Amino acid sequence: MIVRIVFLAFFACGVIAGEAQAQLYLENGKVVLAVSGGEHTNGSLIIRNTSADQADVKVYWEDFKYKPPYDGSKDFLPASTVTGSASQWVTFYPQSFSLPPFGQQKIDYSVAVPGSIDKGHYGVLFFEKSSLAVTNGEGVNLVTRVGCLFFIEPTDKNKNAAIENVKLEGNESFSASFANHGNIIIIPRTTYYIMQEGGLVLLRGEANKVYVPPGAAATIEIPLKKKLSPGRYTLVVNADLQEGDVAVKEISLAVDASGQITIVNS
Amino acid sequence: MKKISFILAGFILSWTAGAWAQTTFTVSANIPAGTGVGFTVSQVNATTNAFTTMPAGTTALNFGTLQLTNVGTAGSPNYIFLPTIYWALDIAVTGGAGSPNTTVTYTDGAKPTGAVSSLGVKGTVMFTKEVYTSSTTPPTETGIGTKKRFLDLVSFNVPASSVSGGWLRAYIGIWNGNTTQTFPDPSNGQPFTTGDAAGTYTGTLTFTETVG
Repeated sequence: MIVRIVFLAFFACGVIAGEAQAQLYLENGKVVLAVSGGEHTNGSLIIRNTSADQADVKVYWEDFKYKPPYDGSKDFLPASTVTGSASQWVTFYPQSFSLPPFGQQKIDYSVAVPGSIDKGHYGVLFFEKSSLAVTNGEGVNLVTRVGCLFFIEPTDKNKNAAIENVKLEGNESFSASFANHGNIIIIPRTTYYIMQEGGLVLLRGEANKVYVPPGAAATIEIPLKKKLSPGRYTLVVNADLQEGDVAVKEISLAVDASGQITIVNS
Repeated sequence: MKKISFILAGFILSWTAGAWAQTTFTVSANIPAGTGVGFTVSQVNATTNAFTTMPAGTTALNFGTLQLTNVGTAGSPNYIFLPTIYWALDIAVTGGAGSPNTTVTYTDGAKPTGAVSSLGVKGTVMFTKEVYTSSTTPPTETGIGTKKRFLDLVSFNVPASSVSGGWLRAYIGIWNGNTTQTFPDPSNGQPFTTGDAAGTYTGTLTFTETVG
């Protein structure tokens, strides 16, 4: 019997290559918890020293909030200063330690939710490496820290969101507003496609990633990757809100003989 | 944890009574959305622009004793105090399946008694995206925004998308007012002059990495 086995594996690797190895590496950059009022939950994080030098690390909590243009940009603020801070709910241990070369440390955390939770509560647990300071002359000290974002959200969260104000931008792209009318931060994965009248999909794409807090709206960009021939089309924008929830918008388009696009209705 | 699944398409080709058997395997793996940060610090000669890599763990970027210099270039006052070096930070972020965002904040430190201005208005940072070319040629460099005073770094964000395919570098120097250099100095900066109090001027640059 002759047996031949051929395996074809396809996978993508997304590593940003730099010239230095990370000195602090936090295995979990984000903790997402769905909780009910009165619930207590525990967990742990692992931080590694990926360098050959000892690292003295302190651990502390801060609040954060996403800020315009909601591309992931954040403001970090002292604990308990932002509406919806989870700082009073989370305790952690240890709060300082030394990491030997290539060593690791487990940090235990505990979340105690009060009697009721009506919206998402957030914060970030920072791991900061101590640094030597400039003591004379003119100079700056470098401080590095990595953070684990905490998303503590009610089990009965409201993920009400809408795609609004679709506009044509220079005949080469569209813009739209992703409005968060719910009670938690929404980070949608927004895709789109353009269909001909017969239902044939002409192009597909993915819009820019946005991080939208409750009550805010972010601009999503929908580039047209190729010119449309004269005719009528439907642009479908689909924002995946995770856990099976979606926000969808259909926009009717018309393209005239000169190639000019018009939004017929949205 | 992000669950990443991919299909390993496997074809088991067997010769059994003239028939081909085909089987598809599904393999899954969990890759944590972690985040890490590390630096390579280089001291750069301000005249030759030659880089000297500093030992790992260097965190104090001292400009040394500044020299009274007749600059005489566009936009620069004639006699100001300048260092003979500037600094370059190559910032390596790693993210597993995540995409870390970088936030940079400056806070003023010490200044001499009687000093009016702090290092915050006299120091500058320029962020660039560096893309590897070869082991014998410098990376391709693209500016991210414009050069800024230290003091203007208030939760300054560099989204992961800005350095996709490359890495982030920060050039850290002292304001000289030159408007014709590759990355011109900001117009709202100030030089060290003979009017400044002598002594130590310090500050802290905090680099923060978070996923999402």
